[in-house]
Amino acid sequence: MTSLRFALSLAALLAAVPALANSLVAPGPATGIAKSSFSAAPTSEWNRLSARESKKAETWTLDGPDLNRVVFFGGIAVGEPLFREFDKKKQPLPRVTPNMLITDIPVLLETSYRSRGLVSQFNVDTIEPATVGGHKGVRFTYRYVRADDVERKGEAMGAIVKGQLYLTTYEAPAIYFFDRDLEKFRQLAGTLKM
Amino acid sequence: MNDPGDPGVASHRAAIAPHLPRFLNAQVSLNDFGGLDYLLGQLAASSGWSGDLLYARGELYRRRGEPRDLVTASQFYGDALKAGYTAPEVHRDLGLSLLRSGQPSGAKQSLSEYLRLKPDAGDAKAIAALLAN
Repeated sequence: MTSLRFALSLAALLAAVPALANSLVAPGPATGIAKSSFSAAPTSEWNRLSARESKKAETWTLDGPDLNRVVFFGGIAVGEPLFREFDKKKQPLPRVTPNMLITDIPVLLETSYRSRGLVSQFNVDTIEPATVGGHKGVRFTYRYVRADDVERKGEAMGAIVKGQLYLTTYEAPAIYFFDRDLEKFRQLAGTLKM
Repeated sequence: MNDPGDPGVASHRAAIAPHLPRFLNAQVSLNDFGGLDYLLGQLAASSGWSGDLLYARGELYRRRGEPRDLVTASQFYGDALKAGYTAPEVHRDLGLSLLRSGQPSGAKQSLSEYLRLKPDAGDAKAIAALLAN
């Protein structure tokens, strides 16, 4: 009960941030996600944010990006970073490299978060093989803490297809929210195609 | 007159030693190749290339991941093992570097050793999948 009360207070706090422009993603086939060949078939409604992590990324959320968010990174090529780079010279981001293995995908995400200076902790907990959109890929779980001191959990599915990285991450506060919407993400991830 | 240096250096190093792998790992994740390369060189200049420093140098090169870097990383992991570095992850990271640089037989040996030493690792299933391919 205490954790639920805490979670609801957290929701009120985090929901107080200004709303970002977004558009509805209706249940059914969604194509061209992240301006790439990524497609999915959600069975419930999502909100697509207009703010992007990079030109090749797209964020969906149920209640706001601080409470739950799914980020699609579509077709990141060799030499490209996952996120928009603000200072390539002083704070370069890690890039997709040739011949990446499935185990390099979680490392790339961790290093991207850490080198942007946005997280004080980041731990990858599990890495296992998975089929992503019919391709051999990886499923991994992780935890991190940002400046707001809220522990968030993440689960991600990624694969290298024709030398390009396709990655989908789901992140939410560890208390209450992550578990509440995890199945919705897994349903969505199960329909991914690229 | 020769400067004998700070008398507290030895006790400082001894106190830091258990935490050094964690500190170095955090630095490796910052993606600051030049900065960490310099830092490792400075640490090695005063204390020699220990297994901890050699492993971190291997990680630095492997994570940058250019084709030549993977060969260099494999050498540093091998040097770390020779210097007595015992963490199971050195076998995994050596194996992954060998795999990416086109040396599958050496890679399989190292990855198998990692799984033998740490069968319950969080990434054991993914490593086993790479071994099976």
